[in-house]
Amino acid sequence: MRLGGDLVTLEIEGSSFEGNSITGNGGSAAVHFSPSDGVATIMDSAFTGNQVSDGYQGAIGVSGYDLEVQVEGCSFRENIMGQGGPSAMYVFMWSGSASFQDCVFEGNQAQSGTLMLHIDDTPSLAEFSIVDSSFLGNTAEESAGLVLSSAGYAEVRVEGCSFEENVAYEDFGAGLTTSLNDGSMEAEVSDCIFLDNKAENAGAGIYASGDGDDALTLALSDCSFEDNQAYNGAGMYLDLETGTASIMDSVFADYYATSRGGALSLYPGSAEVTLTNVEFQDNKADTYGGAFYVFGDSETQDASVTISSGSILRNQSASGGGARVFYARLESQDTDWGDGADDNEPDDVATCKA
Amino acid sequence: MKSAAFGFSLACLVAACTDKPSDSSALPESPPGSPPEDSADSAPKPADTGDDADGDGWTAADGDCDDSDATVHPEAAETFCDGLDSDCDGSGAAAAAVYLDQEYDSLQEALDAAVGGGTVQVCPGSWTAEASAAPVQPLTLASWSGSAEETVLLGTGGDAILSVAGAAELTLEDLSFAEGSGIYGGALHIEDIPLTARRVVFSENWALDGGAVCAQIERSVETTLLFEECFFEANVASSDGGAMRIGTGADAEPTVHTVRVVDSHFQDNSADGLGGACGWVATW
Repeated sequence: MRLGGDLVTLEIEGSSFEGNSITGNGGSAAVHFSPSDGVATIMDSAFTGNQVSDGYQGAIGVSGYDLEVQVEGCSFRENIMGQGGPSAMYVFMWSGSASFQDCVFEGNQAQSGTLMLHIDDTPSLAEFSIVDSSFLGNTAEESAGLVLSSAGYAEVRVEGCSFEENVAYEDFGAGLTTSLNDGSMEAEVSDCIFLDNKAENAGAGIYASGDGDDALTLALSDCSFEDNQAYNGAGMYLDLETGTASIMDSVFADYYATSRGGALSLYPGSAEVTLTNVEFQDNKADTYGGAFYVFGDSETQDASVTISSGSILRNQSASGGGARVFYARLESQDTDWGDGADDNEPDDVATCKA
Repeated sequence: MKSAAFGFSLACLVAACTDKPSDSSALPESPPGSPPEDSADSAPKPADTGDDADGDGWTAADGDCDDSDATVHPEAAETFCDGLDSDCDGSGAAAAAVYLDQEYDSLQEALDAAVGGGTVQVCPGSWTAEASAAPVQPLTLASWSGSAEETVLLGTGGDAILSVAGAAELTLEDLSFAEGSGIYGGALHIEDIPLTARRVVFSENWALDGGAVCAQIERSVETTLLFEECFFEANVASSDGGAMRIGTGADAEPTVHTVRVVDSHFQDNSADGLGGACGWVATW
């Protein structure tokens, strides 16, 4: 469906954008593209040191009703967004697709986000894919790396990406952030690396949240998480009201949370969370849940977390060296909780139910 | 055939412009010598009326506008863009542009002549321009030398350096546009016209929209704007598109329009609104 206007196509190839700026309250320091229905193809190009001092949309801003956005082989380095949105690129659509492949996002600075993909309130579908790309050393007050946002319905694939040394210096989400606002999202995250990210508050590796009746279905597989740090959920912070989350074939190692959830903090609401063939090793939280922390709905208490075929070894916390669980059911199947030198300290699981 | 003598400076061009034609009263009055081999062979030789200092067979009284240069006389072949009025026809000493087989003192004159399309070539040097065209056939504007560095179109401080509207194509090659200013596009303002720009430099232009280039496409015909190996530097827009602003839409029939940017570089451009380098705002 189109709202009117022309179908416009923007093609950028082999080009560079350096030191361009927005001096007022506008946006998109390098490229701004806002058609009704449009195709943007950006290949093998570099966006470096572009700056928006006080506006929105960083180096590139693309917005439209029905968009097809393809970005491949591009680098985004040292772009600065003083206030507002993301530093490197913002895609806002009502339907369509956005794909990124073999891209590098490095050393960008923003108030919120480096790459942000958003579908707005619509019954239509947006498909986002980010493949074989890296987010390195980006900083923001919150959501320092990749931000996936849905007020509609989005299908997301994040594959083969690395998130390293990103910093959310005031709040949450240093590596990957998913955000729902009366929308839903099905996200698959696979073969990714989360290394040395830091969030002042929650979710240094991944921060995923949904409000109200929003549904987030998150499937995480074959990922490695190492040396990330946060106040709450150093590896991953997952806050669901409904939906499901599954984490498979992944490793969480050497995490440190200054409060709770050394590797994971799970707020499942009424959702189901499954952890399959997941290893938690040498993670630490000062207060609760060296490996993971679960806080369910205190009224319904119908959240469930199931861990199977996993290992939870040498994790530490003041309470629940392996796991600390509030108002939720934890089921463990065929899981190694450690023994002897591999034991969790001071205990494997601490629970609390009303 | 292009001249090889492109190394002269802007100062030389300006001097040549203000000095033309040469002052025949200062020339000696002696009989002419033999005409050069490359002079026109069939025209009757004029009667001797004075000295022929350069020995080209022509005196000042015969119409030799430079009796110190044997390559200059009324029947010499004109070499375009060399800063000389070789055939003493009163043009060419400071030609800004060449269209077909004629030189023109200003870009506007050449564009006026090219209303039917064709190629206008800009001579080396820096030329102040505020030109417009509405060609009915494809128009190419290119440097004579093939060098954007040597061929600079400067703004007047008034409107865009070049404004083109109409249904035909515009091609720009190997040119520089600098220090232009305007409301829409300090360097280039185009409306409803396909554009190909190759190896074009846009620097230090200013406009309200599209510091260097402003293009408005509202026609219901598929239109492509191509920028290849172009360089945009330090252009400024007070509103949208520091380097370029593209506006589309509002046409009766939804139409496919394309902007292609290939192997180009955008540096230190700025805008106050949207698109520090490139802004494409579509009406819908």
